[in-house]
Amino acid sequence: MNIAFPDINMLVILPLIVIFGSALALLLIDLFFIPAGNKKITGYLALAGLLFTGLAGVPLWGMEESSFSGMVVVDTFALTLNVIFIIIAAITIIISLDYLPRQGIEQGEFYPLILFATGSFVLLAQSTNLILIFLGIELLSITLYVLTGFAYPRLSSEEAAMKYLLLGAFAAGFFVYGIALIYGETMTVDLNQIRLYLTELESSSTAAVPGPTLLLIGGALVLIAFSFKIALVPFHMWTPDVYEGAPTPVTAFMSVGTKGAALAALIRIVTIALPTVQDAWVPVLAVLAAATMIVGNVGAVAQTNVKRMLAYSSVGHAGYIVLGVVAMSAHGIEAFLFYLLAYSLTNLGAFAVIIVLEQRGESAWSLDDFSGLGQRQPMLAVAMALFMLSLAGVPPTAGYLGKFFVFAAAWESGLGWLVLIGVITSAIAIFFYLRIIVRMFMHEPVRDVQPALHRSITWTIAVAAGAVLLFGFMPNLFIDLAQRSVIALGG
Amino acid sequence: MINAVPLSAVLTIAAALFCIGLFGAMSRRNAVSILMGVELMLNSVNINLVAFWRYLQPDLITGQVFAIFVITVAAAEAAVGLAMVIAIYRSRQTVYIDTVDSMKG
Amino acid sequence: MELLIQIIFVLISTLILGAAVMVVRTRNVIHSALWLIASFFGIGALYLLLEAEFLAIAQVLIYVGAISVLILFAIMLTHNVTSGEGHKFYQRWWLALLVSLMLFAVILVPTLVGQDWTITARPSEESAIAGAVEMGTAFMREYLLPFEIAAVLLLVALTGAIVIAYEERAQRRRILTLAQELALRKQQQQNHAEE
Repeated sequence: MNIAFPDINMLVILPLIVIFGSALALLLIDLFFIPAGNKKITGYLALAGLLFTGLAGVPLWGMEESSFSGMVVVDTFALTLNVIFIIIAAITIIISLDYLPRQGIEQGEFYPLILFATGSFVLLAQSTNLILIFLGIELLSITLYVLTGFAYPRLSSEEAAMKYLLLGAFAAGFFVYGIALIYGETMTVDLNQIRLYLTELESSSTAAVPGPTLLLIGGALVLIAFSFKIALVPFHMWTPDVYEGAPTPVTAFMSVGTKGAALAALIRIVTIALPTVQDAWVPVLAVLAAATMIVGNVGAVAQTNVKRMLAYSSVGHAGYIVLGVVAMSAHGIEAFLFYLLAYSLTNLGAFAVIIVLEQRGESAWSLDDFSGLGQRQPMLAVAMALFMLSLAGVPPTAGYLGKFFVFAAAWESGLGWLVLIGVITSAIAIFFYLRIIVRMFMHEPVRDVQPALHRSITWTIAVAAGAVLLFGFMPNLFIDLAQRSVIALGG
Repeated sequence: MINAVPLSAVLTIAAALFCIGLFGAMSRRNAVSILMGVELMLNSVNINLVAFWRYLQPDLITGQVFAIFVITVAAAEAAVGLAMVIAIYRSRQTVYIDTVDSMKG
Repeated sequence: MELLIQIIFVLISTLILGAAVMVVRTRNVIHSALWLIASFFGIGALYLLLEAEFLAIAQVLIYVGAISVLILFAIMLTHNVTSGEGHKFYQRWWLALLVSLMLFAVILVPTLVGQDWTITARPSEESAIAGAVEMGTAFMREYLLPFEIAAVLLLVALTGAIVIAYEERAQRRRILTLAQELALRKQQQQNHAEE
């Protein structure tokens, strides 16, 4: 019996090891050393874990290698996404430090679960094998089901978790069936080998061969599952209820992180494995994006519940981000990365403001709670106004530049009709984003809301607002990074 | 077996099982019944994987390994789902998903 | 010999599909779970026929031995004896039926039409078919990372299930929303005034 160690390079998954390791350690430390009622320490330790993960990614810059028999790859694309995901997780943890005790739902497991979810984001950004992508998506999903049900005093939280789980399990079934069909056609689950198979098929194509129909159907099923995760129309029905029911920091986390990670995995699949069958999936994805932009933005118009409005708006934004993917060009992926960064900061900031205003157990989610905020908390109102403008895509915010890049990339790829729909829906969106701003500054206070302002959350909102403005004025800080990521992706 | 039964027969069985599971998951009201439908769907995927493995590439282990992972994920999801059913039952005394629908809009 | 195998295959398939249909059509949810167990056994038998022995055992152990027991536990713990609430099915179940049939057709057409599966003839040596040994080595070689990630996934599911269903959590005082507390206070005042 020969014990031969596999030929693996652990450095490739170093951030993954660090984040999962710190999550595991945190679970144990929280169980044995941290008394109930003092769980904020767990939160701080989680932030330390994230810091270590970020540091672990530093020596990997410039590396471009795959390991574990080609299952994971480390390149600038993955590392850039790592940075974005760490920022998202850090902001989420900071805004939940005070929110959880205030709502009476503080449990030590929250922070390790957030770390596990972030770890799955990191995994999805790095994997080049369908098995690993499937496991990453399922790890992410299960963690989010649990996190959604965390605000258990509110019955809607448990309902939302149950709904999310049933639909998510459904989508997982579609996902694996699609992968099984792809496996049946190509006899492999590795993305690079799928591309080899497809190019061989094309080069040896005769009239008798019907084409990779099984693979296309498998791909369609996989796309359905991804559309569910990213909340593309018509698989977005779960989004308003789940976003409303989940505790607000978890909603913020889900709305930006899941989309980013799932889209990163989708980008890997389509750029590595399926570039040769572009004619098949680009139109489908384009139509989905168009429908998403329309339904998301039109649906938000009617909402008076701010949390649900942000849910619909995030559905709309998913449509815009997908434009970057559909463009299938280097500019498209750069636009995707920039949009993800801008959208994450903006959405997290907006949800942070809602958290500050949220009362015990009940929503500060109706528009009335925002009335007159400009008089009582001017700085908070200004920050919220900035976030709303960025979501609407008004210059000089980062959100505007994000939309601009995405539209430009789609236009260059010949998808003019999609850009037109995007512009029209953006115009519609301005209505409901502006409505909040108007409420804040031009109406009298209706309800007496005591904002729970703590230093950490104030700083977070300030930093997020500052970053939104910063990237709006000087996108070059990030664009260079995005361009190097795209080169690494081979686009 | 591979000489006796054509691959398409096994794939048909798997597809039929998938659609039966799909029907079960979409048409039942009881949350546990929906989870049972999902389990049927995941099992049909496993049949597919094992059939493809045995008929087309029996010397590599990829198909079986993937099937093991699917079983793992199915078990994990079933555990979390049933835990949620129990938790909801405690507060609502019901497991019918259309009666636990307090959110509107 | 081939005829025998075909007969066995037909019997097993009948068991699998018949039990599955009973799962989704039975009104009594406990019967539904028992039919599910029957279906799982059938699938295990199919794996044996396909010469995936380890997977067959794993199927029976995990699905019948663990998941089905879990489902039965959940049913028993949530079985409201007096419920018998109306329909077990949605009013519009025919819509679900339609979607299932359409999906069946869509999946089936490319498998039956125009595919020539190059069936690998079974070589003479018995060891050429990958079995449990190869699976074990694969989990430690090529599939090491998914193996570890699956372990993390199970840990998260375990932690999550405990977090959700822990008894003590349900007994913690529910935090009333402001509106509910006001209403409760008003109710108490009314009760006081009536005394």
